[in-house]
Parts: sequence; C-alpha cells; structure tokens
Amino acid sequence: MNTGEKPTAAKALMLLPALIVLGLFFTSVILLFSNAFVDRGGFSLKYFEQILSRPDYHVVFYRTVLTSIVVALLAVALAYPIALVLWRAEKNRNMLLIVVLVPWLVSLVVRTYGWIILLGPKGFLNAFLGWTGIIDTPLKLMFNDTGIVIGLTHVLIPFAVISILASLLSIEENLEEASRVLGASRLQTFRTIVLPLSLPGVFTSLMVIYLACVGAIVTPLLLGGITQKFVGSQIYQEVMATFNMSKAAAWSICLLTLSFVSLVVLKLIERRALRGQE
Amino acid sequence: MTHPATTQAAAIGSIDIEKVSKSYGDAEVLSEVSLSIPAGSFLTLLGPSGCGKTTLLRLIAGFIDPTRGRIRIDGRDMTQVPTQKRPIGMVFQNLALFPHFSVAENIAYGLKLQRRPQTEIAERVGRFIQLVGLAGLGDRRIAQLSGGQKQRVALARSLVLEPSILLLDEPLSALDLQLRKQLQFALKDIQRQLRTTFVFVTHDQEEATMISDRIVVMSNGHVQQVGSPQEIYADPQNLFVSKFIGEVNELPGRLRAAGSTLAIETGAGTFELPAAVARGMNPAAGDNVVMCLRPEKITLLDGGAQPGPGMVSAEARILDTLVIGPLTRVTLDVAGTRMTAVQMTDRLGAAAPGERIRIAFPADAARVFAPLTASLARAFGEHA
Amino acid sequence: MRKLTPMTRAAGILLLLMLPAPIVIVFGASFNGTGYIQFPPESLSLRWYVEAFTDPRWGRAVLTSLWIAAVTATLITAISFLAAYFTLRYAPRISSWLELAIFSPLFFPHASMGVAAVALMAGMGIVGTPWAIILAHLMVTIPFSYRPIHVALKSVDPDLIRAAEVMGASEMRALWDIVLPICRSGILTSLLFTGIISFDEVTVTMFLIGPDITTLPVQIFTFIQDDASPVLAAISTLSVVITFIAILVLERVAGLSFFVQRQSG
Repeated sequence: MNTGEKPTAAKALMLLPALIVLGLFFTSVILLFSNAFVDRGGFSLKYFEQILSRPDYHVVFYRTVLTSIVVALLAVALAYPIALVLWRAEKNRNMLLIVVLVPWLVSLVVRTYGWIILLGPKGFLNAFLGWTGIIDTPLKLMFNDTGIVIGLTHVLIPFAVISILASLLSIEENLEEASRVLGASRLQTFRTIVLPLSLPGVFTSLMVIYLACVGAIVTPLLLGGITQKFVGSQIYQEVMATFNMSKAAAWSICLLTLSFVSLVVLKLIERRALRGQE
Repeated sequence: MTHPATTQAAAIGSIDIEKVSKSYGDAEVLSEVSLSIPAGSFLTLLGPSGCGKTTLLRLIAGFIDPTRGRIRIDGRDMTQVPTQKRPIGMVFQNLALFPHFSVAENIAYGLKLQRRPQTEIAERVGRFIQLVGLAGLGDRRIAQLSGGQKQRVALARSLVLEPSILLLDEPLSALDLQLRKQLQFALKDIQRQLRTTFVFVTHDQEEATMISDRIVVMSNGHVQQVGSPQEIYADPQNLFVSKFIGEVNELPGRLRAAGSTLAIETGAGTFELPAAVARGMNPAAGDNVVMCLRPEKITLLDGGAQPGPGMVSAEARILDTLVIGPLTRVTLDVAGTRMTAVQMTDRLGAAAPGERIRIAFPADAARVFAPLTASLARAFGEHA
Repeated sequence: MRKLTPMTRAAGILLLLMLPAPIVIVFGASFNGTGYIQFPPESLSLRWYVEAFTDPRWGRAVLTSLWIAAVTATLITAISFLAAYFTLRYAPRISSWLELAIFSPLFFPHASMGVAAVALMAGMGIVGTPWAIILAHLMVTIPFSYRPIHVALKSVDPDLIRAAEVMGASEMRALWDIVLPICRSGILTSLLFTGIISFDEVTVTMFLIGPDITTLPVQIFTFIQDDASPVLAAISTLSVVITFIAILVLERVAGLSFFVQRQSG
C-alpha cells in the first residue's frame, strides 16, 4: 500500500513506539552481556571458566541439548499425522484446529500441571494401574528425563501441527493429482510430492521447538525435579534462589550462543534438504 | 485573456501544465511537458505503457509532486495544494471501490466528508445512481456487482461531488470488448451532459479516437502531438504518431532529391511527392526517411484507367482480398513490398488474387517522416 | 492422497485427541471431592472452586493477568499498527530491516530473555511492578502482533487510500474510514493473540514478579512447587476457560486462517 509519498518528519514518529520496544529489548541483551562479564565490580570471566571446567555443568548442557533434539524430532514425528488429518478434513478443519490451538495457547504451567496429575507418584496413571492391579508399586514417570521429554513434547506438538499444516495447505492440489495420474502409488506420491513440499514447515517446527526446549524452565523444573537440571532451571535458580545475576547472565549467554550455533547447523541441514526447491 | 493560465479568471475546469518534469532517481519519466486542457473538454492521454501518461495524471491528482514545473487548475497553482483540496475527481484503473461499503455508501462517502445534510446526501446519491444506470442497486455490496456495474459505481462516486475535473485512469481496461464499447458511449454521454473536464488515460488508440475531443499522444515522457482525433489521424506530425494511430503502410526509403518536390526511393519504387508532405523534419537529399500511406488513400485502377491529376501510381499484384462488410482489405505486392489497401467493397470490381493491376494515391495524401529514434522504436515495440 | 489410509487417519486422530488430554485431566481433577487425585474418583464436588473464589490471592492474580493482558494487547497492537502503516505506506525500503528487528526476539531462548529482562528492569528499578511485566510482554509479543497486522495492511490497495483522499478525506479520515475497517481481522487477530500470549506467559514473567504483584500462571507455578493442592486444578480450569473463550472469540471475529497461512516474506 505504498503510495509513493515522502513522509514528513512528524509522520516518522509513528515508528517511535516500536523502536522504543525494540530498543529496550536490545538494551536488555546488552545488559545481559555486561552482567555476565562482571564479578565484584570488575571484569571477570569467572563464570564462563566455571561452566567450562565443571563436569556437572557439562552434564546440564549435554542433557538440555540432547533432550531438546529428541523432543524436536519426536514432536515433529507425532505432529505430522495430525497435520495430515487436519489437511484432509476440509469441512471440520476449523473445529479440529481449535482442538490444536487450545492446548497450544493454554498456559504452559497448566499443561505441565496436567502431566503432574497424570504422571505423578500418586497421579492418575499410577492410581489407575494400581486399581487394575497391573502394578503394585507406583511407576516412576516423573522427576526423570522421561517426564521432561513427555512434558516438553506434548507442550510443543501443537506448534509443529500448525506449522506443518501451513506447509501442506500451500501445496497445489493438482500436483498430487498429476502425480497419481502419472501412475505413482499413494506412498510414492507422499514420498516424492507431499513430504518434500512440507519440509519447510517441518524445519520451522524443528527450529522453533528446539529453541523453546533449550530455553524452557517451567516444564523441566516441574517434571524433572531438582536432580535432573536443565540449563533453564539452573538459570532460574541462580536468579531466584541465589540471586547471582552474573552467573545467571553467563549461563544465559552460553545458552544463547548454543542456540545460535544450533540454529546455524539446522539452517545448513535445511538448505541441503531443500536444495532445488523454490 | 491572452494568458488564461496566469489569470484568476481562467475557466473553471481548465488545467495548465507548464514545463512539468518528473524523475525517479536518474530515470526521467516526464520531460518538460506543457499542455493546456480547456474547461469542459474530453481529453485523452494516449500512449504505450511507460510513456508517462499515468504519471501525468497522478501529478494532476497530486499523488506525486513534479520534480520541476508547475500545474495550474482553474488558473491556480496547485504545487502546494494537497490532493484533498484539489477540485478533482478520479476513477482508478482498478476502480478502488471500498469493499466494506455498499453501492450507496460508496457514492455517499465524499458527501459525508463534506458534512452535507442527510437529506441532500440521499437525494444526490439517488440522482447519480440513476444517472449511471444503477437504479435499485444502492444496497448491493461491491462484491455482488458485475464488472460493468462496478465501473458505474466508480463513476457515480466521483461525479456526485461535482468536481470540475474528472481524471480517469484506464478505467475500462479490465472489461470485455462489448461492455467496453457500451461504457465508452455512456462516458461520452455523461461528459456531454455535465460539461465536466474529463482527462482520460488509455493505451488503446481506438478507444481514444472514439471517445475524446482532444488526444494527447505521448511517448517516452514527451508529448508527441496534441489535436482532435481527426487531426491526429489525418495529419500525424511524426512517424510514432502515424504508426500509433490507425493502420498505415510504411515504406522506408531515401531522399534522392529534395526541393519543391521530394523524390523518394523506396522498395516499392521511386515516388515524387510535394515537399509539403514532410512532417517534423527538414528534408535534404540523402536523408533516410519513412513514407507513410493510409490504406484507404490507395485506389485500385480498373483496366486501363488513368490516374487522375495529382495522383501517383505504381504497378502492383494482388496477393489477397478480405471482405469485411462494406470494406475490403486488399493485400498488395508493390515491387516486392507488401502494402494494404482498403476499398469500398461495392466499388472493387473483379480484383482477384494474382491479378496485376495499377494502384494510385494522391501525392499529398502521403506523409514523409524521419525514422524512429531507437528509444521511440523500443517504446513502440513494447506496445506492439 | 485425496484420502488418507485408515492407519494414518487413525493414528492422526488418536494423537490429536491426546493433545487436550492433560487439560481434560485437570478439568476432571478440579471436580474431585477428595484431597488428592484418585482413581476412580470417589465424589464430585465444587469445593475447590469455592476455595479458589474465596482465597483473595487467586482473585487478585486473575485480575492482574487480565488487565496486564488487556494493556499489553492494546499497546502492542497500536505500536505494531503504527509501525507497519508507516513502513508500508511511506518507507517500504526499511520494511525488511524493521521485520528483522521485530522478529529477532523469536530467536532468543526464553530463559535468556528472562534474565535479560531482569537485568533491564532492575536497571530501571521497576522489578516487581506491573510495568516491568508489561514491558517484557511487549517485547515477547511484538512479533506475534506485527505479523498479522503487516499481512493485513499489505493487502490494502493504495488506490483505496488515494480514492478517499481525492474525495476529500484527510489522512486520518482515510485511515479511520477505509484502512482500519479493511484490516479489521488482522487487528483483531493481533489483539486476541497477543492478549492470550500475555495472559498465559510464564517463563519470562516469573523473573519479574514481586511481593505486590504476580500473574495467574506464575502463581500457579509457585503453588505447584509449594503444595499441589487440588485448588490448583480449579484455578487452572478457570485459566483454560478464559483462554478457550478468547480463542473462540478470535475464531468468530477474525477466523483462524492466519495461523495456517504460510508465512512468506
């Protein structure tokens, strides 16, 4: 809707509120950095050295990254059939979409709380299995990596559904028909047409889910407990319990760097996978 | 009133464009265009895409400002006047009807902005819905209208404000031929009734000649010629205009001699023409020129008939004839050059393909021009 | 592929039904009459709702979340609209730069954003005030607000604005009469979407609460850690209902197609 007019200086003020919000955001990032390199009033790399040298911290990062990769792959794999169903459900799509959107938009805390009720030692599942007599002692489904993976995957599937569905919906109807007419089987059509063309949505999901996982606090804290530390839960503790901002900032920067590196790697994989498309 | 452009008393509805240029960066899309549009006229800006006609219209509307030069409306300098304050109406190429308003609401919008009383708005909207032939459709949504009806809404919406000037930017280009013809007549009719100055932009020469009192032929940011449709057709001032309006036989050639008569050597033979047929050039021996001849100026001579006085003749062979009702197009081979002649069908006689005949045309009916410059040739090529 | 194989279909539907499962469980638990989750439930009761409504802490948290969501959604929608309108109409060349800046928060892990937000708000001395939470929510929601508004504005034909101006409308008038109504669904999407996000945001918000202020999700989070009383199920259900209503309203007034549009450009 560009009308080719030159703006007056006064009109440029319309940009100001947005620039203030963005300015505050970038200032906060700068403050994050300035906090991280300070200890007792002077420049220090103390907390970075600490992260590099303590094996127990390595485990935390290792667990966070590995869990996030597993969750991202799992969520996309489980989301794909749902997206296919929504793609094909032309009449009821809006209703089904609400079934996906509600879990996506309902607060993380509530959804995680649901899993606590389900998976907890005195939770629904154990109560049910105990009642049926299948088990005598409660299964340990929470306060371990399983709990974190289940919780995070479930929390993030809806986004993957929406993103993959968007990709599927952008496939031209007649491409598939053409493929079928040319004699491709249902499976071949899926493999050669549908899947490749939905890859942009798949990669967007992987990226967003991975990012959401490595930066997660609530779910790991509630389902992983104190022993199965995540980078997010460690950071939360440093800020809220030990009030060590510098350490929290240093951890945040490591997390930030880690996610940027992962994003670059993922982008490279995506470029290879999508070569020839578009 | 020797300088109407500079007096306050200039007629309401007149536009004076004074040496207006418009550049975007290095690209000049209008160069030093001067044009006087009399009040109450139906003027068409005609030219191929990229000729600057739409830019000129937008300058008049005030959507963009000229890089240099001045535009006056009713004698008033408009340079500092924003679009909202100019006494103009506009019909857009894509019509720009407000999709969330009904037909009546679209037409009433400008009146509402002027805070006219409710009763007056209702009365005027009704009158203009009637005028453009949409009676009974006032409550329709825009999406429920046909192309032609939308067109009429756009027209009524602009006219209801009774602007002294209406700008129309290729408003008929999206319609099919029949509807287009219908609306061309409707437009002309409404313009005659209201005596509003219409400035109409089109790339369609047929539409331009049918609809307007005056045509401005433009190309490459320059005005090529201004005149009535008859003038432009009968007496084009350069090769571009000649080619752009109507059909023409083009014979590229070379001037052998240039004095009181011009001797032009072409592929179809050498022709002796009076010097007065040259346009837009100072003929000199050795010049490359293009001789142009309208198809209807050519007469096929029956049997041994002699060309009349002032006629120039040549040998030809008939390649093909095509009867289009009262007229017949005859394709000729004149010494290896293909030419077209248009004859009254009933006066054609027994012209059959393959037959050798003589053709003749009045020497002063031909026109001689300098060849197209490279940039004009490009503009034409993009059009064709 | 006009039709899915029965296997795929069944798997997809089963998985789809899994999505709301935890929410349904919470819903069920909220009506459980006994002290903790039991199977089979022994009695149905509304006691946890009574408890939630009589405890002033919950009422306060709900109201705080609601008004912060309303303020955030209104502010960020206005901010995005102004920025998108200005760039699209007057400065399309800076459009891609602005988008890059606006979408950059999406690439920050929330934990890092939370710490950065604390650093900023502490510097400004506003941690523990609603303003810290609102500012943080503006940063979190700006991409989600800008996107639908930008898409809607982009679809507005510039000739519509010109047409209004030729008829004598000022820029404000044209904006009000023409541009806003045409962008209605984009604006409503932004309002409701960012409202929902703000209402349910927890990861960044929990760094910014103080003794005087907390939001509903953060308070639920704190209570789960302290003592997981079933009153939480009741209050969670309430929060789900609010979100659900917002989504239904969104579907009614603007449709859901925004969420499944391929986000190009």
